[in-house]
Amino acid sequence: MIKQLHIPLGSQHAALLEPLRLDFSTENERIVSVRSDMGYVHRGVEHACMNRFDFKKVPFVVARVCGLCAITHSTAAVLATEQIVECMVSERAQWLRMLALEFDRIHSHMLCLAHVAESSGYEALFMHTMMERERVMEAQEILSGNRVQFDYATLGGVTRDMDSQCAQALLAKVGALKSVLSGLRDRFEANWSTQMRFKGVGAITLEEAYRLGTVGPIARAAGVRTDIRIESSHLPYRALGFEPIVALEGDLYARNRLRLEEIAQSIELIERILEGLPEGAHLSKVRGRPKGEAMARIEAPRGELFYYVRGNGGAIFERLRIRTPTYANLKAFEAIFLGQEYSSIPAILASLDPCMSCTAK
Amino acid sequence: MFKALIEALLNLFKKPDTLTPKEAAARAPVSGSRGAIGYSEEACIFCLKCEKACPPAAILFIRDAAGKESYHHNPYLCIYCGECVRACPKPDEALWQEERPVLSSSDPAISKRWFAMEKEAVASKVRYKKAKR
Amino acid sequence: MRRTEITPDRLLGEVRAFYDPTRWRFLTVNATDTGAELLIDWIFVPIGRDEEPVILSSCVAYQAPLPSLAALIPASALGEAEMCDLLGVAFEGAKPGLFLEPDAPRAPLLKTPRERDDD
Repeated sequence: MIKQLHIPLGSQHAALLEPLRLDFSTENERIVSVRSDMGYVHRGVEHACMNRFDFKKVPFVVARVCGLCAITHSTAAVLATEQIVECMVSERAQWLRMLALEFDRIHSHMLCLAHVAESSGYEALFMHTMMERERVMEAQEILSGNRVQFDYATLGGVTRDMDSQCAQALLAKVGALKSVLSGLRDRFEANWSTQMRFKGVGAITLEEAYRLGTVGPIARAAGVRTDIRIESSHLPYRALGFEPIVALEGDLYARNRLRLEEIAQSIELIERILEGLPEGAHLSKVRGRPKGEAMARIEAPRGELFYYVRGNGGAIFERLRIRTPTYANLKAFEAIFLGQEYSSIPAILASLDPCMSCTAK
Repeated sequence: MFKALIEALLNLFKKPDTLTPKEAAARAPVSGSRGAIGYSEEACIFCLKCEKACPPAAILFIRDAAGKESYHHNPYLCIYCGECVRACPKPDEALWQEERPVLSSSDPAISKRWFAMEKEAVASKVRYKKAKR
Repeated sequence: MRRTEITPDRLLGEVRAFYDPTRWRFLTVNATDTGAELLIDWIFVPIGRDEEPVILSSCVAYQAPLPSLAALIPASALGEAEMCDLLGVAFEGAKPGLFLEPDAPRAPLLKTPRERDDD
């Protein structure tokens, strides 16, 4: 006998970190249709940047779009604005920006992994991952002076330089994380019960991933070789010898494994940045006001982040547009949920790493 | 299974990774941490660069009838980004950022008066210009 | 930014002619109020290659009806809904209400925000 059920999840729910409403229709336990709604935390950031704040303050305003990827927002805004004002950014500043971005990626991926563990009922692993994540938060405080809101990237460079003492401290933190990473991988990948829970759940095929325009770890876990670190030359990732990691299965297990591998890769990139950091000024003067238009794309922890700015010679932007990664992936979320068991939804949702405050900006 | 059991037993004797509130308060701030904004009226030259640079407009200068500027900082509005200190022509003397975190304010009710103060800051400058002419 | 000017009625044909989902990703649709009209950009980026994005663009009057790409590219529906909400762009099938509440100002990102008509 088939029983049809209608189950709303959200906009506030214990398994959700941020307000997102999903309306599921199920046949017994299996999902047959889903509808999503996400505009609950719209704060009008674009409007504020186009009416109230002058262009030098915009990187600090957009950093408040999202707490987790604050640095990616301000870096993207800065990279776009620098194309339409007069300024010379030193190589050193670009490398320091990459450094902050990689730290951000590690802590965001670890948070996601922790929530996957929690949502699938593995509380101890959640605690353990969050404990190790603290090393990265401490490293971020050493680098920028704050754990969450870096306020690091600014027009013309970065807000503070790094001395050798700071570099040593960062290397020590990263080294400590590296030594515990294999233990974490063991728990996520080799553990018998997590394998049962994660393998084959919440999968997306390569064709679907292409068709729905998926970005970030979700796309890479399904086999799409897409990473803005190779698709754009705003930041000198090529000098670091960066190559994207791609998995094939597209399921929850593959996404976990991909994130863990990306953490290891980011640690390697951080070590290379600290080793080969070029000399130069960390901050240079910005002259003139934004005139013309420009776009910037960077790889945020969740995928491609896009900024478009347009200035008409005034101090305030004529247009600022933000397109966040979760925004691009929302259609894929719906496709992934179809055919899954309702009890797996919290874990799948956590593994998709949705960021609603980014999306609704 | 066996490995997990040993680890569980070892964990019983490990120190917790978290700090008690008392320990956290006693801990020295991280070097370079962005904390309270300090100000010295003696060293300030009243160029108003910090007021212009502050992203959330948490610094205001209000002129009194005699034309003397006074500095006001709203610690609840401040995002502690340090833009004011970078804009200051005399950093470390007139305006600086400390490492200690901001735990309390000398004037807890400042947020309530802030909107009125914002208006007053603009109006006082206009008044002063008129009087000068 | 290199743009290819098109007229809205040619959009679907142009996109069909070059869009291969394994080579191009639809980034987003963007609208800008230039003061006299709306500048609409459909932005496509290459997947896995560092090349110039393809930007199809068109200048249209406010509230001129525009075709939707949703049948061809499912991910475009969200961008169209957002532009409809924030700038009042009349995409086919898009309704306001993605971000804004029913009693919020209409099309707040226009230079002269639209008056509310409570019909």
